[in-house]
Amino acid sequence: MIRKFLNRLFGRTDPVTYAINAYIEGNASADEMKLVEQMMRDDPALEKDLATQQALLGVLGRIGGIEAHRSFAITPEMVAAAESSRSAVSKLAELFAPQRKLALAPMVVAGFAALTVALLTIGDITGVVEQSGIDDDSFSISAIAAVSAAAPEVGGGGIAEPEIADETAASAAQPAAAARAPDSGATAEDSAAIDEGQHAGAAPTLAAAPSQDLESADATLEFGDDDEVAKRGELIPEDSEESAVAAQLQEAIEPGPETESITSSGIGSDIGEGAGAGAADGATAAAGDGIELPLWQLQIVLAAIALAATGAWAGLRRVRGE
Amino acid sequence: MTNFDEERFIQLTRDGDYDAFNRIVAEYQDAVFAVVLRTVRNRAAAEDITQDAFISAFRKIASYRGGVFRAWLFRIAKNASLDYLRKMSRRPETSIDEDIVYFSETVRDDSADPLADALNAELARLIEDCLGGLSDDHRLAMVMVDVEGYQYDETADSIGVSIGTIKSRINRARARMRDCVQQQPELLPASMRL
Repeated sequence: MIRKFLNRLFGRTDPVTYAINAYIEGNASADEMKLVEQMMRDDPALEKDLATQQALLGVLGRIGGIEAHRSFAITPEMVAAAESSRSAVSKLAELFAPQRKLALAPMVVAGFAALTVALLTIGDITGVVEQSGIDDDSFSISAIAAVSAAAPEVGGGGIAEPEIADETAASAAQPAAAARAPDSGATAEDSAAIDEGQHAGAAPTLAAAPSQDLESADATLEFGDDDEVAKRGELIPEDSEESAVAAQLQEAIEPGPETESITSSGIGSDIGEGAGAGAADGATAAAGDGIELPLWQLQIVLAAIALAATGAWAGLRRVRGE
Repeated sequence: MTNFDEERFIQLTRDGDYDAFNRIVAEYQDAVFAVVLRTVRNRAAAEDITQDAFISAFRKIASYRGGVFRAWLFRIAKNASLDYLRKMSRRPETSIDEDIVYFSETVRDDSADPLADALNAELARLIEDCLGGLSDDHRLAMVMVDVEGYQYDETADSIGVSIGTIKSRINRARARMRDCVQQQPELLPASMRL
């Protein structure tokens, strides 16, 4: 059984088949004759069976040849017509024509891509994989534009601040400030404070909701007794939106090492170091401990591959008349 | 003695010479048409497939990289034939039996006995029916080896499988043909009756 399966897998035929074929065709070697005769001794019905097949082969051999009643000569017009009737899909299909087994390749690719998308989605849901963070250096223009559109009034307020005297600085600061406006205004201030270990109680709140309402963030700062926090508090205008914008514009104009590290995951790690284990648990829960992947990008690309491959497969089937 | 210089005609065809390719067509058209007709069992379709196969061969001559040219032609025709059969199998309303090719007139018999001729005609019809009942792969292998008389290696090359696979298909096809023709033993010669 296994030998037959392997023979079929590798295109080999077992010696019995070779011997029987050769015997029916009348060109069996001595060894093949010996094998067939042995089989006929073991199974007397086989002799008559093989004789029948020999007679059948004789009849098939007597079937006369077929002659074409017309010429199949080709003309340039025929070739031109065939060329013009070829669609893009049929051109693609011709690539597979010499090896028809490859016609299934697009479907295999589509299946693999779809399976990968499904696995990524399941992994995302279960927390095995996570969307990788976007660092400031790779912050895309489209993302900036999207966030700017989402918070126009904050960006506009920032530009209107009288402190921004230098027009060049203002124009350079505008997109960056607008992009960071929704959440990092508060977190910039808060994380600096938390770094010093003064506000451990506020840490889980900030880490769990980095885009939390700016008022609550300011309130957290105002509750502190530390002088450092008070100094920072002086820089923050009373209006929460203005305070965020002012802080962000200041960052944009005077970029420093600490502003570069302000991300949600950065906050989590800073909190973990400064605020003890309890705070760290909350922070890492927010940051997650799964495998970080550019998840949605992968999903989009793989889904596109799956769709394209399915289309190619369907096109091939159509061209081949299936 | 034929002056058919296949290599030269192939080379000329690569340069776009239609006359040279038509010499190749004239040389092989009967063989290609016979295999296609006995595979698809529909004369009109076989003519279309054969014509398309030669046009396709002309266009793809650059992809021919040596070997038996006839086998390369057969491979193109085989692919087109199997495509046609696949298409027909998805359209059951189109019956290939409406234009079936019977071998009645082509079974050669030296006897001048009208009864023998009639029996041969019936036997030919039976064989045709049984051939039609084989799978496409088995029928193609049997037509090429047992009917048209091609060698195993050329048949394997034409169909694009190994020789072992061809031998296996032939073995199974013969066994099925034997079972099929024995359903009407009265038509069989004495040598074929169990």
